[in-house]
This record gives sequence, C-alpha cells and structure tokens, in this order.
Amino acid sequence: MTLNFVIIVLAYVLCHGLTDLIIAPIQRIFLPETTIFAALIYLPHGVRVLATWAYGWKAVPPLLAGTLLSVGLFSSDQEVSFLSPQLLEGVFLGSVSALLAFECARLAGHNLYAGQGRKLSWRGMIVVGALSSVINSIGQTFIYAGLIGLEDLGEVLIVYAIGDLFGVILGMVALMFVFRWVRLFSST
Amino acid sequence: MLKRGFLAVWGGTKGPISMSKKNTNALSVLYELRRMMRKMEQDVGLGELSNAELDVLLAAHAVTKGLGEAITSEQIRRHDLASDIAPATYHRALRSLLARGLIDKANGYKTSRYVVPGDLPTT
Repeated sequence: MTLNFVIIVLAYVLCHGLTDLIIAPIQRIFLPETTIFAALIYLPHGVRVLATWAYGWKAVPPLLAGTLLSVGLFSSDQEVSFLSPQLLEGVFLGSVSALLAFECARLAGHNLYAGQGRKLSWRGMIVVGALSSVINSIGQTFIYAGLIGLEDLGEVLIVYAIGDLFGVILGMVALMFVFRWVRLFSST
Repeated sequence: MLKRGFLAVWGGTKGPISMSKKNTNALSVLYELRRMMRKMEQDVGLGELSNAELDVLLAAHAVTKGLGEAITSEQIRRHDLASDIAPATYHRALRSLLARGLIDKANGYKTSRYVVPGDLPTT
C-alpha cells in the first residue's frame, strides 16, 4: 500500500497544482467571487474517483494527505486563514465524496469497485464521478455556507459540481492518451 | 520482473511474467484500467482496427475496380481476405467500418451497396 499511497498523493498534488496554477488564474478573471471556493475544472476529482475505484476506503488517507499537502503548497496564507474555520471539514468531505458515491452504488446493488465481478465502463466511471461531484458540491456549499455570500451560493454550488465533473472527464481523457502513447511507444 | 509486468500491462508487451499474489492484485487494477481506457479509445474513434475490420476494409478496397464504384457485401465476402471470417464477425466488422465512415453506403440502389472512400486510414 505504501507505493500506492505515494502514487495517489503525488497524482493529487500534481493535478491540484495544474488546477491552481493554470485553470484558477484564468477563471479568476471571469468568476472572481467563486474561484477561492471552487475551480471550473478541478482535475484532482478525477484522482479521487479513480483512486477510490481502485482501492476503496484505503484511498481516503492518501487523498487526505494529498489535499492537505496541496493546500500547504499552493494556497496562500490569506486563503487558508479565510477558509480555515471549515477547511478540515471541506478537505475531509472532498476526500470521501467518491467513496460515498461508490457506496451509494453498492447499496443500490452495483458493486463497482475494481476487482469485482461487474466491470465498470468508462461511461460508468464518469457517472460515478458525476454522482460524487453532486455529493461534494452540496456538502461543500453547506460547509462553507457561512463564508459564501447568499447571492453567490447557487453559483458556487454549480461551479463545484461542474468543476468536479469536468475534472473526472479531463482526467479520463488524459489517462486514455497516456495509455495510448505508452502502448504506441512500447511497440516501436 | 515486477517492472516488466507493469510495462506489459501499460504497454502491451507480450511474454511470460511471474510475480507474487500481491503484485498480481495490483496489476489486475491496471489491467482493468487498461481495458477501460482501450474501450474509451475505441468509443471515441481513436482505437485501431481489429484484424477482422482491417481484412474487410482491405477486401472491400480490393474488389473496388474504380474510385467511387458501388460494391455488394457478397463481393467483399467472397474475397480471399474476408472469406474465412465468421459471418457474425464479418457483419460486425462491416457495421463498425460503416460507423467509422471508412466504408459508406452507396446511394441510389435498392439493395445495400457500399463505397470505399478515396482515402485509406493510416491506422
């Protein structure tokens, strides 16, 4: 589990860094009020969904570690102090949101974790990612309700859901190209 | 050996691999992920042609005398490249080629006829 732990943490930090350094500055131009809470494309959500699919609840500790490390590396002191009253709750919910979605599916009779009899398709993975993004967006909006202005509440909720979903889709597409390039590279 | 096993899963290298049960579990996740991504590639139109699809496409191309000439399924089916393909596989391959736009349906015929577009795929 040690190697998997490190891989998940590194993948999370890398994706968070890409989101924070590339996507957030562009978004800040158009949606300055919501950017501190949510990104329109939140790549780490793809890591959450894929890691949870692969390792179930065991993915939660490295996801927590990855999130905390990312906050330490990429968030400014002002952002941390602004969010700090609810930061840990938000971090925890984000880390378990994919687990909650997979558990909802399991309780509904669809055990979709890797290695189970039922093989999850890429479309199924995106559906689970969408479910977890809804769980996360509703939960995060509740957690940060005191900090988000009432007029921005709906916008933040939508940006959270869209950002997580786009993060999963973009992550899957990136992974597809990585597999493709590795295969093509190894066959030459 | 473990590194070779991971490379095999990622890159599709063939050859004997021996590893522990723990490594096998880790690899089964990668196998499942690779299968999922391969299917995604095919569904978004980036997958390579299967052997049957390639044979049917080449057979269709071979029986086409001139550019834009309409051919029947039976003509393709009788060609050496396609004659050994099981009927269900053949029809699946033909449907897939139609869906990908590598073979078109010919207009103006009562029965199904097909046209091979001028450009052959590079895959």
